Amino acid sequence: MTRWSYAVHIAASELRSGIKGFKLFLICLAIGVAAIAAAGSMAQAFRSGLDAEQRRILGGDFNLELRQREPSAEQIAFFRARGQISLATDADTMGTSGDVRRLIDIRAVDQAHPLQGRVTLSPAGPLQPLLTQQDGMWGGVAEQALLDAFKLKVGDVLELPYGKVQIRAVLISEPDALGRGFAFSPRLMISRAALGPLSIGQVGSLFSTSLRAKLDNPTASDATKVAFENAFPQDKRALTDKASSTDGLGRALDRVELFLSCVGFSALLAGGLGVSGAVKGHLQTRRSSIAILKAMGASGGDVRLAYGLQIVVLACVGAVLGIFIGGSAPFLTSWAYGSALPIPINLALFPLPLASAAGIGLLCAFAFAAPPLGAARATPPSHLLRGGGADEASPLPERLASLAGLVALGGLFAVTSPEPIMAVLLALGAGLAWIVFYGLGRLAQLLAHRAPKPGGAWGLGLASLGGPGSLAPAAAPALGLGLALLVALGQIQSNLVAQVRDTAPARAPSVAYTEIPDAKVPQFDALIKANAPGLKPADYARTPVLTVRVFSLNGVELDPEKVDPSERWIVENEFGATWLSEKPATAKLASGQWWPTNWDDPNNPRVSLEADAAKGIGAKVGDTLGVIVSGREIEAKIDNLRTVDWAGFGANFTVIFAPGAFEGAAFRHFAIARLTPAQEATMTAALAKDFPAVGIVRVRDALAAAGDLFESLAVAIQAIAAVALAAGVAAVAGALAAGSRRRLYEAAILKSLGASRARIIGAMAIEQAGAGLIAALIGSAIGLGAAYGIVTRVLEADWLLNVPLLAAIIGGAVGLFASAGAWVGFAALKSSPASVLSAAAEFG
Amino acid sequence: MNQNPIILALKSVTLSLPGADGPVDILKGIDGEIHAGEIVAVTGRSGSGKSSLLAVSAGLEPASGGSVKLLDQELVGLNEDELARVRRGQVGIVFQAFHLLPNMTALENVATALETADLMTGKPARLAAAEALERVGLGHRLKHYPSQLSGGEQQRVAVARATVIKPRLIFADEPTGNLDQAAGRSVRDLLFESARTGGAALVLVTHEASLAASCDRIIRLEDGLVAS
Repeated sequence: MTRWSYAVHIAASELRSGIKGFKLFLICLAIGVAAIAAAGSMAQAFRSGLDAEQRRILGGDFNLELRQREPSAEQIAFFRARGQISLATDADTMGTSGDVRRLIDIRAVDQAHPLQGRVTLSPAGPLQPLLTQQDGMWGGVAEQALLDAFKLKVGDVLELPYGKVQIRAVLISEPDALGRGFAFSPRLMISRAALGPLSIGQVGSLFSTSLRAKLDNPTASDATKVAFENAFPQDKRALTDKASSTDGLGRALDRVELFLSCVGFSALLAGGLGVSGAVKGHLQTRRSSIAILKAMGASGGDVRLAYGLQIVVLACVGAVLGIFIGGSAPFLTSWAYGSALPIPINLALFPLPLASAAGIGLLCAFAFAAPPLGAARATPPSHLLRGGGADEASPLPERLASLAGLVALGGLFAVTSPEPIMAVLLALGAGLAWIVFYGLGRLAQLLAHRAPKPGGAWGLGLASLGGPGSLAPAAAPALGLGLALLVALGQIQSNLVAQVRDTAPARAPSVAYTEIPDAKVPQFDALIKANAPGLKPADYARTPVLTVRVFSLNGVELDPEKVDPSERWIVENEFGATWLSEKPATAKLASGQWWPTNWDDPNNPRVSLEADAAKGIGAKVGDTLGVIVSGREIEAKIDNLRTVDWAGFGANFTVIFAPGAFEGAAFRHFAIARLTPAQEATMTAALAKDFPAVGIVRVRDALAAAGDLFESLAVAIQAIAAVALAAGVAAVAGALAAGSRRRLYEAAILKSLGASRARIIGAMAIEQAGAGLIAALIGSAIGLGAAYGIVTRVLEADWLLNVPLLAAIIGGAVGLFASAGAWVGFAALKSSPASVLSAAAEFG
Repeated sequence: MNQNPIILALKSVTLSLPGADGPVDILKGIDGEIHAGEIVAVTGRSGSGKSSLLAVSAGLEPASGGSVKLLDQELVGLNEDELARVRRGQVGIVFQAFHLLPNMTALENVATALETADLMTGKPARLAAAEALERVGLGHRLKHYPSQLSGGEQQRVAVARATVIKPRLIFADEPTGNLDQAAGRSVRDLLFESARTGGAALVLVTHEASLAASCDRIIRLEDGLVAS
């Protein structure tokens, strides 16, 4: 029989005397709960921010985006009948100012732009008057980045291939900027009326047109969508409504939330050891009290309830602390970054993620506190007479309860995750890794125990490492998970950076040329040969390009939801395709045959499909692939499937047609070349004269920008991963603190035997450094294994081991532990051996 | 011959504890009886098994063999919780090392005994505890923690805690062993007075001849057996 009031009384008396031993318990729990709560709250804040701003993000209720063509008169009439519309054209073109010549991103808008929200300018003012033609000169507004790149200021003139634009204001922000995505080139906004005079967005060139529609009756959104799909079935994938405008961002948020939650979960598992250690340490100091209560007649159930209540109260405090920190994450982020945040954020407290984080934290506390609580319950009253002695083993019910708690912990984590199946796998993986870390820690302890012991501090340190109070079995799982995460992310990041900084520049083209007119192809080829003498055929490739959208297979429309997510883009997006007589040198046929080199039959189109894309949509050789080109559907027989070396130099297209398929279509050419920087410079200058509209994309610059992006992202990701490590460090500090009494006692005995201070401090530093080394080696090995798998299998890149990074992480862990050991040694030497030994005797 | 009812009966009691080189036999077959209201001293040299006999008798340590009948309940075969229930409210124990709860005041330490025994809780328990402490001369130390009390005072709190429940049997293991002569005498007097006024039996483990001599009867142990 357990007695609540009695247990409450005992618990209250204990808690009143302070929570000194529970500080690390609170820290470990709060870190994990805070990380999970922050992940959930941030995702929810962004999600609800996106939901509230859908109309603004899309620029209206609908966006019809078409490549290389304008919406048809029927499509314009369709939306005009239902509300207001606005048309915009996006294209890349070359800008020139003095000796600066580079690609810019043009956005041409009509007078109705923007339908939703407002364009912010500096100096502030309305947009439309600035875009008009004044004194024969068209006006525009440009991003500050453009002004910086061309060394211009407001009022200056930027030269375009076929005209000039005066910059009349700085473009600070656009209401629908979020839908633009990542852009390498800076933006210039002009009037759509200027497109013709400036010869931008002309037939055959690479441009896209978007039609934004704002319905008079916003509630008619679904009906309008259905009506559009029925009226224009071929363009239904080009239509985005406001509800789905944030789908991509939502999916990205899900992934980010899952990653952050996993870091939090790992932190909780690592911190669980701290929880267990703190509870064990606290209850060890209460063994006499428990024995006294039992001697007076208290049952094991009374003891469990009294001390369990204390743990519940403290776990609640830790969870509240965690959700307070996690719940304030959106507010702190908004405060720190303000308007620089790329996604709208809804500042509120979100009860669901906070409740689930608290629940996960409480389950963690339960699972890890149950075994030491069981051991405490089993303390016999004879402890009062005999004292000392080993801790009792935890009884079976508590061990089973702990196991059930762990299962429930993983279950709750999965259920509340945005991707439950992935979360289950990650939770299982983390749990398995924890067990492996613990097992290897025990093994290391055994090896240290059996190893021959040299004399002096080394022998003493090794003996402690292999002894019963060794830190190794606790340090390995506590720090291992965090270190593995840190090593894996660090190695993946350095491999990615090496790919874009070293490998890709050596294999990829240095420059790409777009918008080469078909009629002037011979002159272009001649120009590049003249400016890059000795250019090998293997270092230059030019192909015609048209944008296409894959629409159907064997006459049946493809449903993106049924396409493999990694290949869904070929059904959802428009992308570049080409036609060739001969198979590209870098491609390998996976199945089927390449068409005869003289094939040119407009009535019998043939196509070659990249093998992974074919697998994604379930296509095989002999099937008929339907694609939409300039609003027209073309069906082509699949002649072969290819594997493509995407990092290689050549015509790397997902879809390649046989010549003749696009008879009569207007198109431009695209060329890539491997040039020296000097050749690139002379070519850029030469193109300005004869090919002013040819776009120049410096791949070198793009790769450098990507490298910078990876590096800045990696710093943020690793900082997050360090959260798991922080919980681990707290857990190890707990284990260290729990063992401090034993070390104090050991130091006193060694001193009484005549050991020098240096030997005692050295032995403790060696013991702790050994525990750190074991944790770091095991964590690094698992982290390296994971990174190798991801780099070689998922990213399909060459593996490169970053030795300095690995050495820094291992060295850091060993150094940290050695310092902690030395500190413990110093602390232990502060007390006189006589006082320590007499206190120990009294206690024992 | 004591006509009072038997409240503790030991028959062939043995106790073996695990040691580094195999089990160590501590008690090798103890027989004996304690009657209600009787004050008995258990004496013997160090290692003779005095404290172990007390532990087995009070159900603090399960006997390895034989029979231990405490307050008409056979202790052998009972689990921890069942043993606790036998002690609850009927047995008081005083230890040599006092063993007060360090996080509770003197008053709370004594009140906790009443609450543990399910006799009273809250304010009545505190009032009864205060009276018990008054009786042992610690009325002015109610709110002091064990660390703020002298050894003699701590042991008096322990006596108050053991006797406040009005037990039928009090066990005391070397109750004066950690005290100076004056404090020891004071504790002895308190124990005797409490036992006699409450009608409780008192089993006292001691190696002090003078203390043993003041008891009704002496049981002398030698190497785990009753010598006399």
